[in-house]
Amino acid sequence: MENDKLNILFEKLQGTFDIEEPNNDHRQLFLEKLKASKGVISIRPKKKSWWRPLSIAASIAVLCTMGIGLYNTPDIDQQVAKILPEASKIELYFSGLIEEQVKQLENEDKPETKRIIEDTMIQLKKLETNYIQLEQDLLNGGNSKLILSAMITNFQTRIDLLKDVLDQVETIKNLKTHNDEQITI
Amino acid sequence: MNRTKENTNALLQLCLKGNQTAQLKVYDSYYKAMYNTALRIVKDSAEAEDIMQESFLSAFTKLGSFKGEVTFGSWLKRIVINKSIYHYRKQQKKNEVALDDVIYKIEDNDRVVSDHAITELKAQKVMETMKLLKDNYRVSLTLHLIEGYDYEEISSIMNISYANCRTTISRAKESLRKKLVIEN
Repeated sequence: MENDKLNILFEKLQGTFDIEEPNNDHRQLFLEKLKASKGVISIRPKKKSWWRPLSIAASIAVLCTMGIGLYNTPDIDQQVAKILPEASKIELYFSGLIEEQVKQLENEDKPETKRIIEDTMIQLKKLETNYIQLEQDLLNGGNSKLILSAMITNFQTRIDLLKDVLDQVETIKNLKTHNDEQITI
Repeated sequence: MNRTKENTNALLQLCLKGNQTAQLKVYDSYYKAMYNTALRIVKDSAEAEDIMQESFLSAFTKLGSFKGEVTFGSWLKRIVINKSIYHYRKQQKKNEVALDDVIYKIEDNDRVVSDHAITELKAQKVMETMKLLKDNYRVSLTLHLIEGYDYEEISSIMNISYANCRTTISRAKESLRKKLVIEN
């Protein structure tokens, strides 16, 4: 490689490249700068020595308080009730309604409606997790108006879903009896 | 060698305490190398002097963090190089593109005449030719051939990828070699 010659050249010249000199008064100038910056010098290492253990202690303390805080956090529902009493009232009202309808649906549990009811339960679960997320958002200080309306929509959707399913279950049942009648005739 | 090392260590201990005579002694023994290192990167003598002195000041302030894993000289040099690169970048941003960067001269490759004589060149000549190179060629070659950093170190200093660094250096070498041959 031709470039090897370059390497050889530079190896030979190593240490001879420093040919330039700064201005004559560079030393004087530096001395002035040195005097101007006096006092900064020995502070740093000492500072470090107490800073580190202190920061470690502080972070441990923060972790501990966070841990204790997590253990002692009151139930989400209680916290929500504190922030937004309306929300808990709404919840109380709607959840009673929903429970009633779910019970009604469970009563209809027959082989022919089994699939639709199972699916409804899954959908309800999804909506519920969604609702818990909303509560969490509320606790984290989100826009309470928007979140409240989203909560109501959530309940409304659950009720609509249940009503729809109950209707369908009813149709399935009726269809059966209808068919039976036809056969007997 | 060992004695000078002990000597420097004793001096550095004094510097750590803020002893100005000791600091000035350290300055005296390193200023020339550091000045030249900066000058090779930024090209401007006044700027190089500033960088060199600033580097000494920040080296003295940060001396507590110098653990002695490398020699004080190379630790200091790294400060100088980082500062120089910083100024070099500023120049690049400020400057319009220099004419040399735009007009690529087509060099004739047939003149391989005195290629063997390349190893006989003098430092001064080489430095002058280095100045003719494109800026990034000059800087990467300086770091590689004169300061002796490897590709990895250079790519981190210049903030470019490893592969990019390799190609830049190999092209820079090629370009320098051609220029040296022609000038001869």
